[in-house]
Amino acid sequence: MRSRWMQLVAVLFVFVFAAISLIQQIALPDFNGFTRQTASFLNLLLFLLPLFILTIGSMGVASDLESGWFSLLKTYPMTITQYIFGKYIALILSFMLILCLAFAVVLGMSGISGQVHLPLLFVGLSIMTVLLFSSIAILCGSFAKNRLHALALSLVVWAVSLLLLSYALMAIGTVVAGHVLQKLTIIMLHINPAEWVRFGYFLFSDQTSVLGPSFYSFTEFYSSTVGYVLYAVVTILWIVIPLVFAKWVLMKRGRQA
Amino acid sequence: MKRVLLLVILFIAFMLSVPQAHAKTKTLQQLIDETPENGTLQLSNVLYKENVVIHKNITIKGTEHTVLESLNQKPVIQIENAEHVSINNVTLQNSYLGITGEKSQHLHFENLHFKNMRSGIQLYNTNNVTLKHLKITGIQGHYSNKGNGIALYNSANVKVQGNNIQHVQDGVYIESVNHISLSENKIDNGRYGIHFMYTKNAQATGNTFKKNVTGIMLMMSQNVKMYDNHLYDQNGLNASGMTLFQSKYIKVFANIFQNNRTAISAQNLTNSTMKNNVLLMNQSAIELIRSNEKNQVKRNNFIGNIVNLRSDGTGSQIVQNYYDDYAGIDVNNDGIGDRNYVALQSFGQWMVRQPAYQYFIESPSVVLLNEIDRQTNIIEKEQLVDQEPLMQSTMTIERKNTWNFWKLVLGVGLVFTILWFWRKEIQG
Amino acid sequence: MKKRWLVGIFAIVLCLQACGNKEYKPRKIVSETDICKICNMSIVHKEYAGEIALKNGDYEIFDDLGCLVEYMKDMDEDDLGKAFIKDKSGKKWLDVKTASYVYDKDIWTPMSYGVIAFQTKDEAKKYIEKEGKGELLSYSDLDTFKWGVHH
Repeated sequence: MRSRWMQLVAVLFVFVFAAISLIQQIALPDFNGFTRQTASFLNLLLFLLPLFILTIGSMGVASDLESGWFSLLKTYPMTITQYIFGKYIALILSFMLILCLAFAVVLGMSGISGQVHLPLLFVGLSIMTVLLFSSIAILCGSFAKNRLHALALSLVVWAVSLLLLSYALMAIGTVVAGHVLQKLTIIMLHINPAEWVRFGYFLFSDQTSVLGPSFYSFTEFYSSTVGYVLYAVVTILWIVIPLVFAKWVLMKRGRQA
Repeated sequence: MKRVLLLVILFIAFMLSVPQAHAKTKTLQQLIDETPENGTLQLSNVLYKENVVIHKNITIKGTEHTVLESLNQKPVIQIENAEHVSINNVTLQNSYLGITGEKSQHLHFENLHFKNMRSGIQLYNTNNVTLKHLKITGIQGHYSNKGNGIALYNSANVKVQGNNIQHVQDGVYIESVNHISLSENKIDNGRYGIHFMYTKNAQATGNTFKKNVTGIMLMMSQNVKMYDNHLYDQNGLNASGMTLFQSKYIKVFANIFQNNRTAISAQNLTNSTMKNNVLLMNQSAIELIRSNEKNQVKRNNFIGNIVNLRSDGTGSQIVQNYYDDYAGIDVNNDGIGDRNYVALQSFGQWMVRQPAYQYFIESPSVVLLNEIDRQTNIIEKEQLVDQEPLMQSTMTIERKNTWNFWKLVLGVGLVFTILWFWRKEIQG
Repeated sequence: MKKRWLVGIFAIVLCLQACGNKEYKPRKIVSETDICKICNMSIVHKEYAGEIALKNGDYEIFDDLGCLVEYMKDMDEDDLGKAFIKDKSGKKWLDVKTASYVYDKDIWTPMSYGVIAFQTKDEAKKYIEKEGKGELLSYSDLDTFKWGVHH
């Protein structure tokens, strides 16, 4: 909260969010469905949020480790679990605050022009993005040797989940059969949190048909009650597993130290 | 000779039915048989549950509550070898098949209401047909289990006007028909709105299509004009505004395509033109497959589409369209941009070949890829290039601008609350 | 780390490729999603549908025999696993290369090409006898057959 870096992020985020929603809405009439506007909103969310969360979150943990703060903490009656949990909550809260600010600005603007409006789904997805990537950020931080290493690590994770994995898949798609590409895409969707959020958008806005007929049976399954439950379970796993893993890493490092 | 024989038979039938005329209620078939050739039969508010056959020239008029229902899978009304049949103001309901006509001429159906029917009208080998102000509502369920609203086979000189068709397989199915005009029809929630097959000299104007799989499906036809139609929300699986397949001399003018999955998918067309259309916020606007230089895409407005143009690599004439993502400038002020507009995107081209790529549509990685494409494709001269892009759109979008005071207050209030909270945090 | 990833992906791809059974079987048609590869029409009349199982495990679906033959003309012979067409009853899948065909302009098919398939020549002959019209065709005739010209 107190860092300049965080304030800068907040200002930037609010500005971009507001600008995009304003520009797009002025140019086009209001319509429900998957359009370039909703797509750019979604992409903005997927590009910016994870980038900031990963870098800030991981550097926070890494600096604790680097500065010996963590070793000091260990002398207090506090377990590693408590430490991780506390870090996680703090990270979530600060990003929630930034998000709230951005949404409030958009809401205020919608009052002025009557055009801009923010679907509730995007609010939900942003919160989910924060929850998912905060936990991954902490994992990145616990791996890192120092803050610079943490920064590099989180950038790699960001690039892989947003760009490199899909590029790899698209490249593979040019040589393999359609059904193989389809199966790989489904696998990729589960092992990549960014894609998981994106898939969530299509699922909950009832627009799975955008993904095309080849994913029909797959999206049909996720549109059922069992599918929704599974979606929730996978999401929770994405939050819990990195945190548990981070704890394990920190414990191991603690013993080595 | 045949007609005389028919008359004799009818006369005998009429004579035979005389004794029954004293019965309390007559069946519809009896009433029809009693009506003289070229006569008018006026029906009252009665529900008839039967299947009737019409072999003669007759005008049937109903009232608001004249209802016909079939008991089996045969058509409610079957018309055969008739010269002049006109049916007005009747409701047909809960049946498998409404009206069939075979080898007949001068059929005129107006103000008919088809409710909960698997199929509405089927006409074979007919001439001079008018279908006006019909309201056809199909059954529930998936379209593969439904019949067509109106189906026309091997016919000529057909006019389909002002009808309202919903929840059927194909709204109007047209096979081997010469000279047909379809205007001001509203067709929604079906498979194909209008389905042309082997049709010649057709015209579709001022129709509205909504939430079908495909608004207009045109196959193996020639000389078809489609203008001023409004096609929107065709955005389900495999959906499109228009799919044009293997046809010649097709004109697609001044239609509005809005929020479709693919606005126009054209395959194997020749000598066809798409002009002055508005393509608004579709996932893909125009897809050209197995096209050639004789096809023209001219003076259309591409606004807010995710993919504007894509092709399988075959060429078409693409000129003087307006693109909202065109980045060039117009120094000499002639309304035409100085730099080529290149619509080629690697991703768009891949999507044509492999449907599984659809998953990546406008995903973060693809957006970046398109941006790179835009830089590298500037030198592209052949594929999907518009050398004279328009600077100004030829259409205007209406937009209501409303103030919402409470939203503004709420928004500003929230901003200040959060900022205050934050400051407190920092100072504390 | 990176290398291991690539190797992993490659292994999965290979496995999935290999898993495609080499004995080509027709797959069930799904009316909700399947459209004809050639003409884009959705398959609502499953009793006329055709199918091509490609060597790489993909399937191409066709609504009418005519579309299937058009696709086969343009495709690379090496990719072809096996081509199937529904027989007259609409229940059985037949191998396109061994089936017998009957053409008549009055036979309705989804694309109105008017050609239907039978498992044996005898069945086809019987059909022609029964209907009193029709022309017997073999697979090799289909190649030179003029599709959709009678309209």
